[in-house]
Amino acid sequence: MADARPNRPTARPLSPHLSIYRFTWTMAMSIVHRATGMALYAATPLLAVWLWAVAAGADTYDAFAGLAASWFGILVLIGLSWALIHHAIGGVRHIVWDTGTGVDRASRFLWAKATLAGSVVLTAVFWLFILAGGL
Amino acid sequence: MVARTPFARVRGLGASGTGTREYWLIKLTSVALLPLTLYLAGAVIALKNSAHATVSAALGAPYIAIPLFVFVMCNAVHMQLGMQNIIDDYVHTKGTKKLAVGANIFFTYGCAAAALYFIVMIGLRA
Ligand code: HEM
Repeated sequence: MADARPNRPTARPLSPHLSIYRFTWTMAMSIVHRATGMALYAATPLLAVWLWAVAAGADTYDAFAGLAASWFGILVLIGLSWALIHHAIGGVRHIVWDTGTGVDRASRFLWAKATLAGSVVLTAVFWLFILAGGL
Repeated sequence: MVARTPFARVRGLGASGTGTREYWLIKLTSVALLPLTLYLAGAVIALKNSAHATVSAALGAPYIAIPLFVFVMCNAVHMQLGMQNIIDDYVHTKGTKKLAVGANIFFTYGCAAAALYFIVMIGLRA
């Protein structure tokens, strides 16, 4: 906490600032994990809206489904499905790391890159299933 | 003479000395969310083109309603603690922090309450 010791001189050098970090894969995936977590957080009301549309009856549901199948709806849903998949793989990565395995330099970079690659591939597979046979 | 080093005294406590419960819960909920997400994604694929009656009947059936119910509950705990983690990292002013932590709780459990209510409604009508 910044205000825990008010008597400290304030001009001391603090921990490195965001802008002077060198790019690394683990750092990038750490940021993306947090960003996707926040995006999913913001999207959680949509789950309740979807369930409301189902509960409200056929007319409301059809209107909702139409909106979801519009180009804008599909764009949002592709983004959200990717965020969820990326965050889920990143979550597995964190839990593996928590056991103390895979933290050496080679493994952690492999995991970080695999998180990104895996999320893109799995999102594509998911949408192939969705788009197969038309919307 | 005391043989304990200062490091031994603080080991495992982190900066605040608490937080094990939150840590454990976010990991536990993420382990639960993983299979639930896979299962429900399968349900979404299966239902993608269906008419309202089919979707309503499927969401009302126990094999989807119960996992969905559990998903909403785990998700609420997970997202509340996840956002609290982010707030703890970035918000350092006392008043703003209280506001943010409180708003986070209202938002997450508000979303969950609405979702659970509609799941029950769908189930009762199915
Ligand atoms: C398959 C589902 C999911 C898994 C496996 C998962 C896993 C995780 C894990 C392990 C963490 C802790 C990361 C760490 O140790 O720093 C985490 C953080 C977080 N999760 Fe999830 N999660 C999932 C779904 C979600 C969903 C649906 C949401 C939002 C509604 C969400 C929101 C967050 C947030 C906001 C954080 C905090 C991010 C941070 O501190 O940077 N997660 N998740």
